[in-house]
Amino acid sequence: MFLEVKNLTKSFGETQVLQGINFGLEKGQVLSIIGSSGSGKTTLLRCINALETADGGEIYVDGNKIFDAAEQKNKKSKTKNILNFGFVFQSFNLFPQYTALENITLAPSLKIREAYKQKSITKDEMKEKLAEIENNALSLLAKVGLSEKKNSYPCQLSGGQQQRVSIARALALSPDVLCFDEPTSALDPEITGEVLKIIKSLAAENMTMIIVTHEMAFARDVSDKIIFMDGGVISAEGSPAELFAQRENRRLQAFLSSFYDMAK
Amino acid sequence: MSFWQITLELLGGFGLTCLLFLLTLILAIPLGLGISFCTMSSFKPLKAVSKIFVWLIRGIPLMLLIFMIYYLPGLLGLGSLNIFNQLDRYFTSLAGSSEMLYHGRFIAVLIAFVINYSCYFSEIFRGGIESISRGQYEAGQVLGMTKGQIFRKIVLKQVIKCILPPMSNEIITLVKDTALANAIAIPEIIQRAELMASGQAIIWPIFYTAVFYLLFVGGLTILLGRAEKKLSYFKA
Ligand SMILES: Nc1ncnc2c1ncn2[C@@H]1O[C@H](COP(=O)(O)OP(=O)(O)OP(=O)(O)O)[C@@H](O)[C@H]1O
Ligand SMILES: [Mg+2]
Repeated sequence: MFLEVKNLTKSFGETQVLQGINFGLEKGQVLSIIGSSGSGKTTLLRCINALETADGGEIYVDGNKIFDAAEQKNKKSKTKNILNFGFVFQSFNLFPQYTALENITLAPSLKIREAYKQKSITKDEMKEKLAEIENNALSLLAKVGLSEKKNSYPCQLSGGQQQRVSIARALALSPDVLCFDEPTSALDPEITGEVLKIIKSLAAENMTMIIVTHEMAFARDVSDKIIFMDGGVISAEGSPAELFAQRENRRLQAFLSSFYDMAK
Repeated sequence: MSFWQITLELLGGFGLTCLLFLLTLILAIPLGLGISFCTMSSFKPLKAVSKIFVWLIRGIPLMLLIFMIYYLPGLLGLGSLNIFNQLDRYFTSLAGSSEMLYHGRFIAVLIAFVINYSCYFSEIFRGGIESISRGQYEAGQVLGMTKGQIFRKIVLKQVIKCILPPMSNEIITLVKDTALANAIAIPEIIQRAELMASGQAIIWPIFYTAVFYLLFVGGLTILLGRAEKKLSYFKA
């Protein structure tokens, strides 16, 4: 397994939000996480991305242990696993004072400038790398169909465009696994499609992804594997065909039928 | 006294106003930032103490605070004479001046101003910092930026944009509050005009002082307006 999450637990005060989550994901696969509100989907994603520190469990990427709750208690370094993952927020969280292009180049350029300050690269190398970063950002913007918006500020972009920039921003650091937390929930229904299309094209390029979503049809189309979360545990999992066929799981059926009702 | 003599005399007083204004700004901004961090601290006792301090200072009239600072060292039994007056004497003899200088009293006023304004600023800074959504910090975090980078490259400019309008207000109030230095006989501009009125029965300079304030505040308004405009290209 490329990504392995083992027995992840997390509590907020008295309530245990994650009660031992186990799953694995092969490189190039797409995993969707579905489940009703409050079932712990966001919390799981945030624990994987080190935005929350899990109380228990381990995470491995490519055989390397990048998180171990037991070790976490002794030392305070939380940022270790961050760069294996990219994160796309429900509310985009673009930096308002930077243009679309600058939003994408900011973090990678800071790393290069830092390396130059630490004298691990020369000035010429830095310049070369910065140019590379800019070119890469431009091609990412082209990929999400926003080349002509490179100099626009977030406030000049629609929600769908902002989300596409934020996907490009996450891709700029070439993460091993790209995570999405309801990437289209903050968007008007008629523009969710433009964002979903980008995610599908990433799937076609074998980007490893974890997607929390309420778009059932999309999850079915794009996923290699779907996890249904319920009350902090994985209540059902499998390929889309397997999962949607699990008639005996009452909770899953109730959850899915609420979507069919909404669609009617 | 000719118009020019009076203008020069008032200008001398206004110099003190400007000095008090500048020194207060330079000292109260970093101190205010420090206090705002204390009031946002997760260490409860520090938070409580700093919040009470801000409440006290904001609740006390600045004029009263000036008197308190001026008399406090004497009350605490530091020196037989008021320590600020002692300083006045020290500087007077040092300069060999025939008139009593006011350096000590100026320091007392400056301390009062810095304490007062750092508390007001701290509340503005707190509001500005708290207005930045968690998502901005988290976006920086998942991009692998350090805490310092997140603050300098992402948060700071948004905070500045957010606090500029309330800061402009306070800064303009500060210009006019400098007149309170009058309370412990510092010869700032209004005091000098008053002396002309009482000593030489020339009333109009009192009205004339307004021109100095208006010009200064006008200049500041333009400057601060420009800064605001410069940051208007984005919406935080
Ligand atoms: N920072 C927090 N402090 C306290 N409780 C929290 C915190 N974050 C989440 N929770 C609680 O944990 C539970 C799971 O929340 P989570 O956001 O993971 O659910 P979710 O599956 O993402 O729901 P939704 O579909 O509504 O986004 C909820 O009951 C929530 O109230
Ligand atoms: Mg959620």
